[in-house]
Amino acid sequence: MNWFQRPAPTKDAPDPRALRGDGDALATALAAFLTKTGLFDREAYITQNPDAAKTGIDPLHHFLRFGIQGGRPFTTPRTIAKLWREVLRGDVVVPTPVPLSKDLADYRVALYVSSLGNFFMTEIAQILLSGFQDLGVAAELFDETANPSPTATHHIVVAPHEFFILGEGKRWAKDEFVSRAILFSTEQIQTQWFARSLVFLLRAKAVADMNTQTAAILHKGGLRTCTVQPGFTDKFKPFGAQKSLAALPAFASLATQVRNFDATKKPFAARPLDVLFLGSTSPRREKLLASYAPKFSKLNNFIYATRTNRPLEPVFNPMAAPEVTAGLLQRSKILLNLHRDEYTYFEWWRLMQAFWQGTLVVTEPCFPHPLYQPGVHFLTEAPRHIPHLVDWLLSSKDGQAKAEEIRNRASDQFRLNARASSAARELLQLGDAR
Amino acid sequence: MNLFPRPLKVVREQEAANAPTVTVIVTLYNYARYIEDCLDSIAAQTQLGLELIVVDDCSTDDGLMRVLRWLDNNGRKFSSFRVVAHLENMGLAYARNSAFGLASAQRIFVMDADNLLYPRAIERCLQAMVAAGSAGAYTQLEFFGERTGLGDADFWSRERLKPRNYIDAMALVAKSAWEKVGGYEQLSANGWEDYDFWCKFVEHDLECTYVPEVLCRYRTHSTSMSHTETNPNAAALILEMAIRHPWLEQQ
Repeated sequence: MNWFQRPAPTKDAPDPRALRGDGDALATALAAFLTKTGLFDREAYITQNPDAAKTGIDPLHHFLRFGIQGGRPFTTPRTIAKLWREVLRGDVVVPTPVPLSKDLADYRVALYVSSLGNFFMTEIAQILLSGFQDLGVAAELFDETANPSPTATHHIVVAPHEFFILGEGKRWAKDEFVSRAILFSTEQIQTQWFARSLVFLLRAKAVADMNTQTAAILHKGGLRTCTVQPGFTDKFKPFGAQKSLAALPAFASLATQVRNFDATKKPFAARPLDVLFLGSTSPRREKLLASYAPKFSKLNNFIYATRTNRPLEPVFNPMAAPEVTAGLLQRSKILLNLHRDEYTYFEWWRLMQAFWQGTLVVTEPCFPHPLYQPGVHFLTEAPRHIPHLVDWLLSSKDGQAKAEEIRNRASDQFRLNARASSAARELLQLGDAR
Repeated sequence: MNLFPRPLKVVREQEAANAPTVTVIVTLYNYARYIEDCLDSIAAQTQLGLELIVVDDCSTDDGLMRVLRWLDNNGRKFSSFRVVAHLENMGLAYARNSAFGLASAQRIFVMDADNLLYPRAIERCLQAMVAAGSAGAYTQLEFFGERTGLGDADFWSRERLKPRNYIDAMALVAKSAWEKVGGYEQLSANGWEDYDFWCKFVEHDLECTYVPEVLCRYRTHSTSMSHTETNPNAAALILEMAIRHPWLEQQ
């Protein structure tokens, strides 16, 4: 997931030896995973890490011993494309989770998320918590300063690449805990953050991934896995409709009519903000957003493209709060989604929040999703023509009618068929039978 | 602020019947080839009641002539205007101070002669500044010219200013804030007057409001002075800034 930019790897990167047990066994497991998936590209590793080539060490061994901790690039778009083709052709099928073996009342869930990471990881954890409550399962949420719950039947760690690495989270990076935990992975497979978490994923009881394709690749690598996409719950209050915006710094620039817009039950055309973009900058996004400026400068927008290079914490960034995202989405006609790089993932966390708030999603083409189709639940257009599409949606009668139709259909689909409680049930199933 | 009077002459002026809402100040030094586009973009602003002040910092090209010719055709679009010329080159910091000193409005939009605005830029900044009750407002930039992309703008934050500047001079600023911080200052080398200016805002507990829309256009040149990697005086400036603002954490 890459809504916002994450910090570069630091000396905080995990030491695989922190996982008690046989270091060789871990290296073997890593090597097996990389071989089974074909994810590690020997040639690309040498090309992208010339110093590694000079050592004369076998590239895979170099990656396992040094590269993985240093967040070295280890794969290529070509490799990922090959894996995606396999997934799309149906060569890799993730097995359906088995039905639950116990009564719901017999489960005790402990969720864990770092208090030092990006704010939206906490959102994910809280929505999962609400999902368990909706399901009628006892669940509690802890951060890295706590201790493992002694009574839990299921331990679920959200964003392991942050949890086991930041602050006191290092205490938890031990086999006895990791091997009992279900890790909820949020990171795209080609990233250093995924690589950082891999030593934990391999030792975990099971791995849930927010992305369908990544789950399939993890399955191919021999991990017990399934896709889990936290969705709608009316228990998560920060995403509820805001009748007016609170006096938060993130909203300081907004005109009174935007702030005081009652977000409950209004048609598309009445929303005061035209286009909303939220994300970290990347060369690709910058180029596109700059090229949109001549047309977009005429609209009422909120274009937040940040260069922040540290976790998005509320103390440092006024945007790092669920109420802020929700409040803006509720007042925006269109959420603009631009991929950070050439990996065209379906950015679940961003898109589902738009579905939640009834905001129309306009995006570049994405990887297929089982519940949401382009032209049906969201609109896609080639990047260079996005301003033309936006213009039509905002200014023509036909466009407004289309926008109203699409956003309502997406909202219904989301609220009925993508519930947080379903995600919670899938997590129980994943951690259940051996 | 510099005590001595800057040697300048008023080249042309037109007084206003009413006080302007915003004064737009444009500092000009050898940017004759860009100045008309810059002025066109100011004249096209949706915000009404603008005053225009151009300070020519002793250009050696025909920029000043072009300004006067442009005003012949466009002067009536402003509630008032004033064109002044420094009799010797004083540098960007003092040229801006001259312009601030002459401004009649309480809110001043700062422009360099090679940059451009989209039509809603000033109206939106004014709206945000009033809504937030702050000392200024700035938008995200679009880079154009040598290099295209987005600017570094982000929410106002002391923390964020510590490692480097991310707020351009192209902003709406309260005249009272400019006075309070002692105006723009001449540093040992050019290029970081803005950084120094915003640091002084922090030290005086003044805040500006970020408008997250791309409404200002920043021309990139191959010799742009604003970035550490391209400014040959960076080492001297880092030392100077460390003394002026010890709370910074530049590397």
